[in-house]
Amino acid sequence: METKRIRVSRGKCSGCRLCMQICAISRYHEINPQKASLRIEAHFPQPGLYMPKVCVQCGKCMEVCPEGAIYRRDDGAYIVRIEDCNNCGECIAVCKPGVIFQHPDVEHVIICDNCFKCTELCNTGAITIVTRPVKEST
Amino acid sequence: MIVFLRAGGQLRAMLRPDVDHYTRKVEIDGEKTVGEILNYISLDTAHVALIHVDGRMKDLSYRPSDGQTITLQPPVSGG
Amino acid sequence: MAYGSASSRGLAGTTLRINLTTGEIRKYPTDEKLMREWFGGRGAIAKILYDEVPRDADPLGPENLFIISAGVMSGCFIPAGAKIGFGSISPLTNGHGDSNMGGHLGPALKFAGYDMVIMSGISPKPSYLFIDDDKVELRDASRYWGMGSLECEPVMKKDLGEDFEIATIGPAGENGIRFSCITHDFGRQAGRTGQGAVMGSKKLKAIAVRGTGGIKVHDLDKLTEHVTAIIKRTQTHPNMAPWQKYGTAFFIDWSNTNAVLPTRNFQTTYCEDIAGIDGEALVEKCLITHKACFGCWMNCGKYTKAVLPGKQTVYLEGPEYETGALCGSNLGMTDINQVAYLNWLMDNVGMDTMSGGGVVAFAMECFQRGLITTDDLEGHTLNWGSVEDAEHFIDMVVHRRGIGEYFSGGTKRAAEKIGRGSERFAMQVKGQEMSGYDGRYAPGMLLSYMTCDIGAHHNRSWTITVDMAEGREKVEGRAKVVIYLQHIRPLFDCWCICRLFWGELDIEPEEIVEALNYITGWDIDTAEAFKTSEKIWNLVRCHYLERNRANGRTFDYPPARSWEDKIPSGPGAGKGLTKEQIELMLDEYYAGRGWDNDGNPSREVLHDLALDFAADNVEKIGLLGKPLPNGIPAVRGERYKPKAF
Repeated sequence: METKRIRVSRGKCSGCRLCMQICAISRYHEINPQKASLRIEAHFPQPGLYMPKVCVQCGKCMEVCPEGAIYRRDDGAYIVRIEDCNNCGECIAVCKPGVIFQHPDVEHVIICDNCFKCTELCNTGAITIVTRPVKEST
Repeated sequence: MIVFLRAGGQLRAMLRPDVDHYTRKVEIDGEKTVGEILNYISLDTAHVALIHVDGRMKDLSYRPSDGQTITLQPPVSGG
Repeated sequence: MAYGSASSRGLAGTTLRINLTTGEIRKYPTDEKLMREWFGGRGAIAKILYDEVPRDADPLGPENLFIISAGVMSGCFIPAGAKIGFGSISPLTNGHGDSNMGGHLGPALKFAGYDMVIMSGISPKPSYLFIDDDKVELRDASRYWGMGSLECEPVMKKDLGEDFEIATIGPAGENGIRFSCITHDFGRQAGRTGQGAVMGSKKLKAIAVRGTGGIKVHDLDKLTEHVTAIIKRTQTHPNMAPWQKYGTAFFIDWSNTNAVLPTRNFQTTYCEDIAGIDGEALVEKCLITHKACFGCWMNCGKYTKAVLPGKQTVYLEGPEYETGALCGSNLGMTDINQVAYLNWLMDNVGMDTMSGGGVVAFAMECFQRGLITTDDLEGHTLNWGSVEDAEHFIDMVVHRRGIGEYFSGGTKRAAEKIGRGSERFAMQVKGQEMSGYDGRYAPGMLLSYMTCDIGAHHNRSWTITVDMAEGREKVEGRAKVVIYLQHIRPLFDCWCICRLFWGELDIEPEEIVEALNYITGWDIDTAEAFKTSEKIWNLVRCHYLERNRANGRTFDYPPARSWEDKIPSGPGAGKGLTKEQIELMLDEYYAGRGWDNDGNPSREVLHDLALDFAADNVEKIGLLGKPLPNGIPAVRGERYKPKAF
């Protein structure tokens, strides 16, 4: 048994945003980077770098959700039960990397669901998949 | 010794790849410069804008070691 | 959300018309017929300018239009689908002008819901265009007026939000320097044709766009499959790794070795001190990060810093090939930090580094020859290789002080003022300065400069490898290659995708047109694409004749250095063309285009391109091409096929 999440390698992102495009296309069948579940933060003119912001699977969103609409899947992803999510946004307030999103067209919050299509198209190695074996619970 | 030459575009056609879509294997006697290797396979060096080995730019006087891959890039169409 | 109502997919759906004089902003559905028949971007710009701008309008006056066009493919999940086109009557050439820019602004405009913005008039006070999805406003820019472009962008991002895409002009554009550019994303430019000067003449300081909508395409599944396959295929292409590492800067060495690198105002074509200013020097000494445009991971952008003793460290994107050549060897610079510093300086004041390099080089040669002196330069010298001298001179030009006024209009106008034979080495055609390749030992390249619609620019046609393959001293047969390239290359400026990605990684035109059809639902093939491009080319030519009122051939000559001065040194020593060879190339070119020998399009070719209205207009002023005795070629232009090796 293992968990997977996106690893960010600092200094490699060049800001092309193909990751954001394929994320929204895969999930919402639309070309709209604002529906992606990751973001690229640009730090210019100084120091001059791009920083991908991705879900670190800390679980705080699940802890605070008043509707219990977020659950942790076996592979480590935090999944929104969209029928239970009322889009209140409490989870957004506690998300430290700032990677939970709302969009006017979407009736629930958007959280990364570990499809990893973004990592398939990233050609610089800025975002890759990291797997971790799960400790047996005692 | 053996070196591998790799190129795309029209340069690839001139290279006549035989290992994969982009790569040609060349057997040479002793150490030769890239310029001499290209001459040996009758590839006009004027078609080569960039010579690239292990992530670094080289020029025609570079002497590759056994088994190295030399990437050749044609000139860009300007920009 | 601003999705628009376009039934043609790929379009955002709405066009904005803004009267800057009155402040009126009008939204209306994008004209799909215009987009289909003229292909957006450069094409739509050409048609609108032709239809709407009076032939005697001053390019820096209220009747000129300033058009922004994002093109049908920009933002549509297509690699390098990042571009945006700007267009107006060029203050440099007095003809159609358009300039394409990478970065993220094109997609942002589409995501906000707009395909085009057409601006007329002059704002009564400094303004900027603010677009936040449905909200479109002209806002007061007095706070930003006077700021350098690279200084202004972070201030605006702080004021409006980091997620706004910003494009600005600098003091050069504000002051009407005719070769001013527009800068975006800390270092991408719409450099050529003086679009920044047109913005400045309209008192438009900046454009700020945020878009949160999406773009609908005709068949997203097929597009995704097609594009993903191309992405994966090109990931292992041999050109990819060197591109990613060096961008276009690696090419400096090649140009030098092959005697086409402009050195000291094109006096020669070989630079002895190349190691200090080539691509390797850039990566080793200046590089901070690789920087990409939207949807392109070739990351050809190189974000760098320039460190020079006694000067503040500055941050910029570049120098890429053109700036590396035209502000490097062309100015006698020997250290990459010098070139990077001048790149930053010009980006910040907002002048095109290509024309800027050409203007400074021309001035340096004038100084070398004693045509201008320290008295003209406020006590300063203007020596080759001196950053201090160049910086002071640029300041005089930007603020139009003294002799700076002469140069503020480009090398052609400067040479007219300075006289005394300086026209010979004002390296321009039709008023726009040459790109970073010398054409004396590459005749197709010289022909490309001569016949380019916007002056001596390489973006329409680049033939140096063809010249090398076919014989560098032979001029016959070049014309048809130039014509073909002048059809295919501008298509990228219509569709607003980057030619470098699509042209350097073995992707065939058919594959690009396939993607276009998946995006738009059009059913076009490459033949139609090329014919539309040829139509645009001919319309632009007619427009040029109508504005400049003389036979086309009059405007198609290079500066006399091109045939009077043989290359004096380096691998090209002794080489050069004759005037007869230049005339021959023009003869062949015009015949190949279906134009008469005066360089005027014939009615027959204009009719073939559905441009009868343009034929009528040029006929009225006596500039319609005479009928060709042997008729026009059935197809104009021919793709170059390298000989089997």
